[in-house]
Amino acid sequence: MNEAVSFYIVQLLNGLAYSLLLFLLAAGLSLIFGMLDVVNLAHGSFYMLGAYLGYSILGWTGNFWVALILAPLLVGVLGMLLEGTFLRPLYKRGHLDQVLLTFGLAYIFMDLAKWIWGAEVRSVSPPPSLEGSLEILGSVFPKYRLFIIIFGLLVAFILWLILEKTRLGAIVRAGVSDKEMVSGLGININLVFRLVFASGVALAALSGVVAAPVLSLYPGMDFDTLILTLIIVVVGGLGTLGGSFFGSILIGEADVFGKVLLPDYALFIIFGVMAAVLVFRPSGLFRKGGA
Amino acid sequence: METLKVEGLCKNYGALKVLRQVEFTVRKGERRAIIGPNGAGKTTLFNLISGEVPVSQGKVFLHGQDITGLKPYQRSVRGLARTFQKNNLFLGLNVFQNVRLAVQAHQSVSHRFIAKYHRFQGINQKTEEILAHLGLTEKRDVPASDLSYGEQRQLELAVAVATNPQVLLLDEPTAGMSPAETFRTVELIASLPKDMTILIIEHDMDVVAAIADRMTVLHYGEVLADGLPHEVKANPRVMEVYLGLEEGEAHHAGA
Amino acid sequence: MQNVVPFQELQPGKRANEWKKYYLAALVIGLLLLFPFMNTSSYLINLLTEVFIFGIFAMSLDLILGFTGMASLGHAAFFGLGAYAAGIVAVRYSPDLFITLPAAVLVAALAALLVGLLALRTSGVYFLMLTLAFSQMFYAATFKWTWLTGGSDGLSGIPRPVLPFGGDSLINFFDSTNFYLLTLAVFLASYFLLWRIIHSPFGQVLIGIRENEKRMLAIGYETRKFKLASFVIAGAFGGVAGALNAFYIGYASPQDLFWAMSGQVLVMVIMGGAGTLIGPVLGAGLFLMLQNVVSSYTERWPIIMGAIFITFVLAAPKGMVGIYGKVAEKVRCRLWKH
Repeated sequence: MNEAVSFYIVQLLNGLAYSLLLFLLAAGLSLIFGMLDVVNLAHGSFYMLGAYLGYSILGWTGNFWVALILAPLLVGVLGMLLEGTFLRPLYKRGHLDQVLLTFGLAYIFMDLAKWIWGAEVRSVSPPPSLEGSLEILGSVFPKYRLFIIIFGLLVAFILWLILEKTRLGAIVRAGVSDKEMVSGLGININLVFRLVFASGVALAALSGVVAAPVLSLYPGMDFDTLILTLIIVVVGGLGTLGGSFFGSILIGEADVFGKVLLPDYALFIIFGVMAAVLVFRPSGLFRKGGA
Repeated sequence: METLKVEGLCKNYGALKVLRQVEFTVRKGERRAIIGPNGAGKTTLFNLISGEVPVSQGKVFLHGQDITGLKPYQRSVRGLARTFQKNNLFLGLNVFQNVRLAVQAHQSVSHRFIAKYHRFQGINQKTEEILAHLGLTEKRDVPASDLSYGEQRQLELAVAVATNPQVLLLDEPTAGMSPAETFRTVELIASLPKDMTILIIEHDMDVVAAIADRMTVLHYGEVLADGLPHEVKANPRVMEVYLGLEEGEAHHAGA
Repeated sequence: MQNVVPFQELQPGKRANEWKKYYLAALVIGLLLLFPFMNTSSYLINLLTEVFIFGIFAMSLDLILGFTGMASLGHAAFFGLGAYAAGIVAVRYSPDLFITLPAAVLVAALAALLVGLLALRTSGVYFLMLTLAFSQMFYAATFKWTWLTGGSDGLSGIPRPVLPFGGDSLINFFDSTNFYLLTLAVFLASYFLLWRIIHSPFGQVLIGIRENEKRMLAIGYETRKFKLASFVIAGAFGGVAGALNAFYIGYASPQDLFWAMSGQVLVMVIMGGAGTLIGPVLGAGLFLMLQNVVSSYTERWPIIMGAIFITFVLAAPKGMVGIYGKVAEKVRCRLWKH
């Protein structure tokens, strides 16, 4: 009895850690969509780049924390460059072209990663200070996963603070609901777009670095992750932080419990959840407005 | 015989009440003008009747049937058609194709997926007739995107008429047209079958006078007056809040 | 039949043009039929065989992308399911062409129906994301269900098809010329069918949806029904292409359903020109030629392909057909001036 309870608690926490990694991704995707009207299909690729860059930086410096800061920054700068060169000329066109463009980028990053880091599975060890386990409510739980939970919640809180309490956040929120109004206010909308895109992909990269010690690095991780993120935004709705958050928790927990309880059908459980949402609430569980 | 009836129609966007308890009944063959200043809720009323926007409260009846919950295409199948204030055309298709799609919509041939569309002579002929009727024959092979604004406006009307509706909602059909085009459009609308029920949103009082046999005045989302044109014009409340404004509008429209 | 359409009477030039088109088509088909017998290298025969297979695949995607205006990023799912369905039936049951090909069509169409029913509850970007997500679900399923699909090793040993009559002695499809002729026949039939679909009342509805779905709803079309039908037809043709490919390489693998395959067919359509039937076929041809050439120099084909993809999206969104149209117009303008 006790063992069963502790089993569920551990899995619940595992699910939470996973959910928060997914939240970083979904929040970035959702933010970019809300502001730029672009579904960034290279989002998984930026996650992958973050993870691999983190792996390399860790290899050079031997310090996980440097990797944690540096890799997302580098990916953010890359995102800035890509937004300026490739996405900007397409804002005038329909967003299909923009989506296709990010699809093309995903192709390049997939092969680039294979070229640079090879096709074998790689892993990263957590920083020494976070190795080992703790006892929580009578169950043993790895320290690093606890770190993910705390870190993820912290980032979620900071994101919420920025969006709700700062001037920049107000601009972004206004931009999500009415772009013309924002450019009418004399704000440099191009700069806002660039910053939002850079932050969105940096969040994906951050998720990649944080995930590296618990999930392995392999070619294909880009799209495996992208698909989960897309499912989350379908369930939670694009353009809202809350939707991304609760969508991530639902899908993250469903995936972890699915893998533990019904390992052969884990993927179908997630798709089942999504199908159920589509059938009963096609406008998403947490999406505002609807029909 | 009543064709269209709206009952206690309300539309709210958050705290904003765009329509409040709008009620009226339209008889078969009636030509009713919906007038009122900008922001009175005229287009919203049309959106609720045609199903483009869900109602907040109230009901819409077509031929005595409650159609409030129906989708736009279901209302179209039941004989309702509308034009849009902003031209809403198939811009990449030519004039003939635009109208033919509308004719085809109610001919139950759309499931035919191997037969060539050339062979459906009835549809092609009907399309030609409508083009001729609306004076668009010369432009039949011109892409809708290449038409002048006034011509697009005419095509907008043609597409709605081509569905052969019993009730037709016209949202400012002459807006932005030259006086000559306006004159032709008024003639066209007048030449539509007598049993076709028409509701028209219009700012140009000359157009209203030429077409409408009844008027409904909307003001801040409420029906201010409803009746024969001379009754409405004599209505003190209308004189007070609407016709005062109308001076400016009439000047603008009569240019 | 004396059903002459009035507007063709108005424009006599148009009729002559149409006949020119028929002559040209007959000439091209004749050349393609004779192609293998003109002392052609087997390399070229095989390349063209692939062009036909991927031409069908690209045309099928274009029915939804270019003609109905719905972006699907998971079209490889139906290609791959067709490949597996035909392969499994051929390996386990019978290589009879008239069993394997219908099996591929059936499985692909049913999968498209399932995906379409769910994904079409949304629209726009959500639809697009869902097509991608569902295709990756099928991809993962081919990995998991090893007993059926052979897992990550793929399903190998798929035989070339046989005809139910005459046996191998009549037409042996292991011969590359015969297989070329088979794919050519299926390709021409697919092209003809899709051409008829586009030029049918149903096809006109699809084009109307592409142009302005809102107005289609307003004039009385239940657009979701038509979009679903278009999606299922496209899935079925995707299945045909997948089956042919499985016969051709004797092998079906999870890669057939992978997103990269969906991207590949998207590139073909966009390179050629969406919204035309010939465009995707030309796109498939150019793509496969480039792939063949580039792959002989470098392993980094995906990067180059991604770059080509981006270049076309940025610089020539209407593809080769669009470029041709622009150039032709310019030339005509020049000629008129002089």
